[in-house]
Amino acid sequence: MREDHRNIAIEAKALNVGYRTPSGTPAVVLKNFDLTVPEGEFLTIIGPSGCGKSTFLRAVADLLEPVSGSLSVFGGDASEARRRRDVAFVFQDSTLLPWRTVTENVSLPHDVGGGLSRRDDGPSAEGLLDLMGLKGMEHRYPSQLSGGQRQRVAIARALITEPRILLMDEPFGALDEITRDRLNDELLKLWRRTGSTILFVTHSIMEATYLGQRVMVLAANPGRIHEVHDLRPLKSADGTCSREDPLVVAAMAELRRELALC
Amino acid sequence: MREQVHKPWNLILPVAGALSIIIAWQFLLPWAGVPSFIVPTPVEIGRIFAKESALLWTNFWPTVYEAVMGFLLGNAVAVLLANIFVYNRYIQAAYFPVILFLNTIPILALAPVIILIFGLGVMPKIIIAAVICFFPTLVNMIRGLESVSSNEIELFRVLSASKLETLWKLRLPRALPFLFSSLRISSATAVIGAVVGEWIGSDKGLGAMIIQATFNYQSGRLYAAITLCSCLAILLFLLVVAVERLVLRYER
Ligand SMILES: Nc1ncnc2c1ncn2[C@@H]1O[C@H](COP(=O)(O)OP(=O)(O)OP(=O)(O)O)[C@@H](O)[C@H]1O
Ligand SMILES: [Mg+2]
Repeated sequence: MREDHRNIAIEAKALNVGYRTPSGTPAVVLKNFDLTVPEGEFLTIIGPSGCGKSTFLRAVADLLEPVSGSLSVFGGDASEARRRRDVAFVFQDSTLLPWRTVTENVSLPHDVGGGLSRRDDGPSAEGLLDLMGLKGMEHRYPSQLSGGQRQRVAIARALITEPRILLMDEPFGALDEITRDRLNDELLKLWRRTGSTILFVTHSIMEATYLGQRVMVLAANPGRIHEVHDLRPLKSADGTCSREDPLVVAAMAELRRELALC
Repeated sequence: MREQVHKPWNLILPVAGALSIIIAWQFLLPWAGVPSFIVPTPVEIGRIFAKESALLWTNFWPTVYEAVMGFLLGNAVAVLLANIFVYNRYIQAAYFPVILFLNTIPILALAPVIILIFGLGVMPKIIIAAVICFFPTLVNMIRGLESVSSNEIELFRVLSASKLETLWKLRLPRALPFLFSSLRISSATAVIGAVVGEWIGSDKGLGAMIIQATFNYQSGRLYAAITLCSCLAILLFLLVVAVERLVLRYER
């Protein structure tokens, strides 16, 4: 009911996305994509390697132009949304700049793009580092951090522009399971607090189920939407669930069976 | 732990190695009958340093000046050009092959041309030193500026960074380690450039001194000048390393 009144964050219609080839004709990776993501949704994306998960995020971030079809972000072009700083990207390898300290990395978005969308009442780098549990690390260099700490810095950097859409491409893929579980919980808390829309790519069925309100399963060759599962019935009002809940376990088993067919 | 145990040896062994060769030089060469006007002993060279220090100093400073100025000029032009090339691929496509071709001309063939153009002052020596430093730094710097990852480029694009910002805040810092490894090499080649320039046309500087001392069989003076050349190169090298440590703090 409620979602009908929400804004639409991302809307793809008959969207084809691909890469330019030397011959000039683009190699289409994503075919005939139809998807609507309401504002504030946590959507996880899962699918076999090479099916085009990163490609979809790139299209939303305006790193790739659609070949055909339409892709709108908050009702406009992806490029407008990018210039408004509506969209932030978190990569699998944190992509921190090694010559910048933790604080300097987090405030990078203020130092480029002409300081676009910088507001005095926006979050401060210090506040975000505190929020991500990195107090006392402000003056370290990325090489002096653990993998999990680096990913937290990358998330803090993404949050400093207060993006309405957070694109996360296997952000915790390289972490151990315990750190990953902890960061999952922190991310859920963050999502509830900020109300931002999150598109989260993962290879972990557990992560996809635990985090997503909906899970989008992609199939390969060509990359297409296989199925979008609504997991909200499994989750409590605040969007959380228990990893041991039999319903959650059953949903994971079903996802696993489905992925075997993609 | 391991490293601490080995640390004194890191210093002791090279010093001992050098000392053993100097001692062998001091005693074996006279014993083998090599006359001192061909190869003087270390003690004789030391005596020259004491006796002719004024002459050595007056010839040391011009070479220092030429080498340092050439080093700065050649590397500055190389860094600037590398940035222009990476900023604009068309300029790179048009001019990089020309530079590649010019680089095949041996510096010894180019030096007389430079002297013809710039005369006999310090300028041609600075230019020769600069030319020698230029090419390796250009190539290294271009490689460094291009050593950014595709994720880094995408990060800057999502942040709507301009091309200039990407160059300044991403490519340039990425290139610094490449630049410094080239500067270390330049510190020695700049001295070579200055000395070669002085050989061809000068009455001042270590290069001129080397030529004159050779023709006059003043081998003590010759060896003293050579020693000063290598001291100068080492000094420049250490300077580069010190600046590198200051600038690239994050690497350690
Ligand atoms: N820059 C590129 N140029 C051409 N083709 C590309 C490029 N990047 C990716 N592709 C192709 O697009 C397809 C989808 O790639 P993408 O990176 O989106 O997959 P993915 O689902 O993210 O895979 P993974 O789970 O391994 O990260 C792959 O077949 C790949 O070969
Ligand atoms: Mg991917």
